[in-house]
This record gives sequence, structure tokens and C-alpha cells, in this order.
Amino acid sequence: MEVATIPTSTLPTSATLAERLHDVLGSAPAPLTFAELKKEVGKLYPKGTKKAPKPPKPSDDELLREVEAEVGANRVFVHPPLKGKAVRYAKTPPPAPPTPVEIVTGLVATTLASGDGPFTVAQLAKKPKSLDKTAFTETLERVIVDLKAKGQLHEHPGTGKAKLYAKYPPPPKPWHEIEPHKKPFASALTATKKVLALGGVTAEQILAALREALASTPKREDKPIVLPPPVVPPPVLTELRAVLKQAYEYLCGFVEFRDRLVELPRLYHETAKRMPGLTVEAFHRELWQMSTEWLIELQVENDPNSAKEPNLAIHRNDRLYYYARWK
Amino acid sequence: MTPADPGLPRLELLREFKRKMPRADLSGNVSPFDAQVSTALGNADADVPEMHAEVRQHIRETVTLVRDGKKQSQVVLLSGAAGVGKTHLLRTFRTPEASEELGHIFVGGSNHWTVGEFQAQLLDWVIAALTAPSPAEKHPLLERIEAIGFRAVEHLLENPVSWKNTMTRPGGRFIGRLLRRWTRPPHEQLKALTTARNPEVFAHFDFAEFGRYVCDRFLAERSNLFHRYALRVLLTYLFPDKPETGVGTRERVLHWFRGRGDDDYFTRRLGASDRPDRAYSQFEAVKLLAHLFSPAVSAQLATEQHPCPPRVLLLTFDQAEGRNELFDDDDDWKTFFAHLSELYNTLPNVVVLFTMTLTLRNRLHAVMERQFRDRIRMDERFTLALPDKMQLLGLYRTRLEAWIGDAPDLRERYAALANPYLPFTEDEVLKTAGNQTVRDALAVLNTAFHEAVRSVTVDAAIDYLFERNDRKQAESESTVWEYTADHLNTVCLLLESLGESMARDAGLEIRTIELTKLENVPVLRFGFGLPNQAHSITVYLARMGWNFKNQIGKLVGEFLYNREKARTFLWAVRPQPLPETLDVVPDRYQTQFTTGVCPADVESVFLALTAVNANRGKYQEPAQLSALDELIRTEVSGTYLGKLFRHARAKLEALATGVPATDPSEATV
Repeated sequence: MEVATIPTSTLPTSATLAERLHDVLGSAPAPLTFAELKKEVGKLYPKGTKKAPKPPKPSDDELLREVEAEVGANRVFVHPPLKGKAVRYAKTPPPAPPTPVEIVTGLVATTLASGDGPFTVAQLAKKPKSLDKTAFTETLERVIVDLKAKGQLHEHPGTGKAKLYAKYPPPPKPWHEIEPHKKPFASALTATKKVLALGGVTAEQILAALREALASTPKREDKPIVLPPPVVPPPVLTELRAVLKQAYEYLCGFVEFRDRLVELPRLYHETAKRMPGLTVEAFHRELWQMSTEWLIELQVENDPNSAKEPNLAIHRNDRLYYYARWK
Repeated sequence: MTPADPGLPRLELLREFKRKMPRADLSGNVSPFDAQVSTALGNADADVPEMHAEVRQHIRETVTLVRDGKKQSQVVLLSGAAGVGKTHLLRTFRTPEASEELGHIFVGGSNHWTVGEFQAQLLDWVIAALTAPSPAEKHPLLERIEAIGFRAVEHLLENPVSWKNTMTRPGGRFIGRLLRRWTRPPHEQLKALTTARNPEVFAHFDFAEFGRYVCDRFLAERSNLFHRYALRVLLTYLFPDKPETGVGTRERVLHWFRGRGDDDYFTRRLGASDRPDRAYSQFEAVKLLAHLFSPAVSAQLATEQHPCPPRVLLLTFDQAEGRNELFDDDDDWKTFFAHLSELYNTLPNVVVLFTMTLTLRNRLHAVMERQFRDRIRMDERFTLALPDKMQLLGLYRTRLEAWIGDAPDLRERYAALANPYLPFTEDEVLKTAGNQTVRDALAVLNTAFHEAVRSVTVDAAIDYLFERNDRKQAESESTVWEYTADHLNTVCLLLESLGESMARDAGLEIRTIELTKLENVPVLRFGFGLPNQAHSITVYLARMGWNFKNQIGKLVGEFLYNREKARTFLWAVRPQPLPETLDVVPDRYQTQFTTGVCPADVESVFLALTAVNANRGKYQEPAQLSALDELIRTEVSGTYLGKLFRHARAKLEALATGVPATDPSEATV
């Protein structure tokens, strides 16, 4: 267990036990158990000499009484124990436990970070032990609504009644699946299938005849045809590389990347801003391919525990490739 | 005339490579890519000049500029992934040749010290660096003290009066003056000794007066009593005891710097007692030693006949992660950097060089920039890059050339080849090594080189030794139980290729082999017979585990109970010997039960023999094939398997003749 170093006290010799107690707690970076408190307070009582006697160290009972008095007066607060059974003391109250909304939001965020989805409601978050079923269900519904409102969660079409959610919006539907074109198109398709079923003509012949017929038909100009935005094709290979390079050069302007060795998580986020819909898998695949082509170098993080967002780095051969530099 | 096979020289060369690899003294196969990890004290082996050339050049320039006084003391931080070449780069500055050429003193050592021990450790390093290669030989510190001494004498002799006051003073007032007048050497003699750089000149000078003169002339802080004392201690180099006592003058001086000196000796000689036993005095000692090599002092010492170039103290802190383990927290790093900055702020001839991985650099670089300010330059070149294609190919060639360097004939034949990347092509080297650190590239090239050479046959002995050595590492990496866990599979593989010949050598036939298990104990069932005879016996070979008592009981019950005594036998083997007498084996089965040992090296022998025999078709000479057969015979007969075969033969002969076999205990291994 880490015990932080507490700076030397500047209290006068005449300081009371309460003052010394507050001095120790005030300068401790983390709450202290009674044993740690006793040790630190003890340091404030150096041994005197016959000619210059100093106040003796307080006994355990005295110290405990003082601590309890301060706790009763709300000047010192009790914190829950860490691993052992010993409670801890500090000058500030313990942080409030997370609310059900915070717990469930954290679970959903973890699921969304683990992959692109889409996920069912059951997959988004599993009920933690600290929440009962009803509370969990209500909280999860509320969290889904909140995240949708913030644009961090999007509903995807699913089969049946099961709803699906993902962090990216669903790809836009093609024009012929959206009203008002959906039904007439479906009727046209059914009619075309009937013609094909009669035999003797191919689909290409039907299309050519339709084009000819349509060419002689006067255009209707009263209603402007509003088409949905065109379907965005998936990122093309060269396009992704160009965007990666753009994001990389942008990041190299920051002081922490002045040596042009960029962290993969930052590179991913910067690239994803420029290329929405970029999956982590595509990101990793492209970088690895570029590495095998000797276009970039990927360097390993030797201390994976210190890596932020390791899921955005490349795990391969028991190594965590965390940095990239263009050659 | 048939054209020469272009592949023959290549094949011959590969055979020579394979001959060179197995080393019985090292119990390993040494390839050009074996040494993958650079250590601070390792030899400066094959180097690719192009790798990190820019960084190396920058460090050289920095040292040169600091040495010449054109730049203040500097800090350089090298970082990069593990295996990218940081320590290797550092090592190129360690050699005496590099030190001589650049004019620096390489100072550095282990990371095993806490922040409170820094000053003492630094002083030890500086002393060790200044007295390399040995305190008993000529070393930079001695040369510098001599230069100071001779220059001081030259200055003294320029003054027609002061030189006489520094002469030795034997005896009392009147007699001393008289003796001095008659015994004092003439000015010309002293000048001649000085010009000839003869240390005997110092014997004519009074140590105390001479020391005072040197301190006043050459110290930067002339009123610093510790510096004066330390310089006088150093001057005892020039005024040794006659005769020498104890460890001798030179080592006595060094022990003083380590705080372990003979206080009485220096108290007697210098009339006062002091020692660098506290952090601040150790630091002062380092400052003094560095100052002696500074541009200012060097300029004072240099003459046309005896140039005295300044030297830079190149303080190196390699593998800073090791340092990180010994520091309690970031405050210790701040303290450490503060100590260093005090050093380079007071001395003009210090270059500090750190190497660390990216994680530690990311954590500390802000602290370092705040502490070192304009003395440290964060440059992208100092984050070492992975080797590019040309550098990787250069590394391959350099390593191979260095490896065959001690065989002139091999070198010539290699140089004559069109492809210097034997046994690979250029593309294969790049594809195998890949875009990764030098260390990782060497590791994969090492494995690939071993595999490529393995397929070439030389002769049975070399090929067997190669295969045998190749398994040494696996032996050492596992426990003996793990390594021999699949021993019976190994035996099956051996017998698949060699069973017939082994049985023939033993005068047997193997009629059946079947691998089975009894409650997780692997068992191999042999059916042996004599050629052209109907008699047969069954031998069960079981590989026991750590807990054998229960297992043996069950094996006996399964395989020996209610079977013909003369035809059914059970062998129990395991990596460690079983006890000679086993209570779990009932007396009536003792004659059918035998124990044996299958240690790790027997497992390796069987695997190596199987591997060598797999290349049998490549041995073209009948003599090579005979040698292989003889090798197999010799190696197997020494193991429990050879004894099992002989045991089986004895039993079969007994069956055939109706005479009981010889004492079964002879067959026990």
C-alpha cells in the first residue's frame, strides 16, 4: 500500500495535539489509517534533551480520543477502508458513491468503446450487483435516452422488436427505401418481376424499353423531387491513408508530439473526426499494412499498464504497438 | 564440359556456416545474430555506421563544442522503444579510441544506487573513468597531474627567485641553509629534467610549498579549502614515498577519494585531515576533478611541445528505467536532476547523456525541460527510429562479415558470392526481419538462420551436435518434468524412423508398437520377437510423473496381473530416478518390473537423432551413412532404451532356449 510522503511540519513546539493532527491530515495527499496517523503525528514529537525538554508523544488512547472528537465536530471525516479493515481519516469528506445513472453510463460507455456494434439493450450493459432489476432497467432506459439526445448513441434498424444501438448513426437508406418512393418503387419491382416471369425478355431489355418510354414522357415539374443525400461509400484505401497522414501532421504540431512520434489513440480520434464511420479495425488494419510496406514505423509501449485507451492501440504478438511515425 | 553448378559454392559455404555454428564449449549453436542485447560493458562489436548516424554525429558535435568552450555544458536525452539501439549507440562512445578522438572521459555505471547515494556513486564513476585502464598504469588523471606539475615547475623556473624558495629544505636553520646551498641542483639541471618530463624533478621541490603554488595557480576556487586539500592529495602522485608502503601512492590517493583512505598518512603528509565522506564534499571532489580537464586549465597547461587538450566529462545514465525502480517517486527524480544541474552550472566541460524508453520520457520530459531549460534540446532525432531497409541489410552483412571474420578462407569465398545475404535473398531478409527494432529483427533473423542452416547436411557428427545444441535452450527454459512430458511421443517418433535398425542392432524385431494411456500415465506397448522365431514378449514402457506410487500400483495391476511371467514386462521411467526398492510392487512381480531414467538430455538425444536421421537421404557418401548409423547406435545404447532392448533380447533368448535369463537386476538402469 502506498504511503505518500508528508512534508515536514512547521508547527511550533507549543502546538496542541489537535493542531498537529490537522497539520498531518492537511498535508497528507490521501486519507490515513489510524496507524499511519499515529506514525506521522509521532514524527512531530521529536525527542528533547534534559536541558531542552519537549512535549512527549501522545498515547494511542489520547490520539484516538482527539480523532474521535474532531470527527464528532465535523472537522475530520471518516473514509471507507481500502483493502484492509482499517477506516481512514481525512480533512475532507469522502467522495459520494456513484449514482445509478453514473454506474450505468460507465457500463454503456465501456461497451461502446469495445466495438462498433450495433448492440442490443441487453448487450449495452449487464446489471451490476449493486442495483436491483427494476432500478437497473429504468436507469438504463434513462441513460439511453440521454445519450441519444447528446448524439452519443444512435438507434439502428433491427429485426423484430429488439432495438439496436451503436455509437455511430446507421448508414442512410437508399432513395428507393424511403417514402414517397418506397411504395411506387415496390410496385414497379413487382410488375417487373411479373414481366420477367412471363419469359422471353431479360432485365436489360426491360430497362432499355423503360428508358425509351420514359424519354418520351413529359416531365412533371409541379413537385420538386427531393432525394435523400447520396449514400456515402466506405472509405477508400488511398483516401484513408491520406486522412491518416493529415491527422498525423496535425498532431505533430502539438508540443507532446514534436518528435513526430504520435500515440495511436490520439491518431484514431483525430482521423475519426475527419472520417466519421471509421472503425477501429479498419484503422489498425491500415496502419499495420503501411508498416509492412515500410511507410510508417510502429513502436511498442513497454509499460502497457500506463497506456491510455489501449483498445485503440494495436495488440499483436504479445506487444502493444502504441506509437506511429511516418518515415 | 559440364558447366559448374552455380549452387555448389553456395551450398559449400552453407556447410561451412553449419560447421562453424555448433560450439561444444558453449553447448550452443552460435549464429551471426546471437548477440541481440547490447550491454553497457559489452564489446563494441559489428556496427552499422549509417544507423542513428545523425544522432551520433550530433553527440560528437555537442562534445566537441563543449570541449572547445564554444558551448555551455549540455544535456542530451535519447529515447525509443526497447531494442531500438540506445545502449549500443552509447557504447560507441565508450571505447578508448573514441574517447581519445573526441576528447572526452566516458563516465557511467550501474543503476544500483538511491538518490541519497548519487554523489558518492558519481565520484566513484569519475575516479574509475579517470584511472582507466588501471590505477597502476598511465591514465588520464595521472597524466593531467603530471602536466600540472611540470607546468608549475616551468613557471617557477621562469622566476629567478621564487623557484629557490620551493626547493626541499633538509635539516635546521643554519645547517639547512648551508646544506641547501651545496645540495640544491642547478637551474639548468632542473630545466633539463622538466623539458625531458622526468618525474625526478619533483624530488627536488618542497611538497608543501609546491602544493601551495599549484593550488594558487590552477584552482578556480582558490579559497576552497577542500579543493586545496584534494589537489594536494593528488599531487602526492608526484611526490611518492620512497620506498612505497602499503597499497602504494597511486591507490592510496584513489582510496582517499572513495572516503576509505589512510587518514593518518595524509594527516602526516599534509598536516591536516579531511575526506570526502559527505555528499557535498563528494560533489566538490567531482567538481575539482572535472575542473582539472576544463578548457581554462588545459589552456594554462598547453605548450607547443606538450599540447594539453581539454576533456569533456560525458556523464551517461543508461537504462533509466532501472533508475526508476530505485527512486521512490518523482520527487527523487527532481532531486537527481537538481544535483545534475548544479554540476553542469558550475562546470563548463560536462555533457550529460540519458537513455530511456518512451514511457519514462513522456513522464519526465516536462520535469527535465523545466530543470535543464536551454541546456536540453528536445529533437525528433533523439527519439531513435527503427532501421530502414538499407540499414537492415547493412546490419545483416556486417554481422555476417564479423562472424566469419576469423576464417580468411571463408571470408574470401563469401566475398566471391553474388548474394551477400546467404542463405537468404535480399527480399527474404527484409521480409523476415520486418519493420521492427534492431533487437527484434536480430531475434527473428537468428531463428531463420538456424532453420535455413539446419536443412543443410555436413556430416553426422556436426549435424547431430547442431541438433543437440539447438535443444539446450529449450532444456534450460523448462523444468525437467515439462520438457519430458511427451517423452513417449518422442520415443515413437524415434522408432518410426530408426526402430527397425535399432532392433536389428539388438538382434530383435519390433512386431508391434502401440501408444496408450492408463489414467493419464502414457504407456508404450512393445511386441518384441527374435528374427525367424515365433516367440514374442510384451514390454510396457510407462512414463511416470512426480507422484508415482499410486500410478505404479495401477500399472502393475493392469499390465502384469494374471499375465505370463516370462512374456510380460513393465518398465517405468521418469526424469528423476525411482527408488531401487518399491513397496508398491508386490514381490511376485519384482522380476517383471524395471525402472529407468529419462532425463532432459535423453529427450534431447532422441529428438536430435530423429532430426538428423530425417536428412539421411542427403548423405551421399557411404562413409557418412556408416558414421550416422554408428552415432545412432552409440547414443541410444547408452540410454535406458538401449538397455530395454538388450533386456528384451535376453528374455526372448531365455524363452527360446528354456534357460532363465541372467539376473534381471543387471537390466535395471
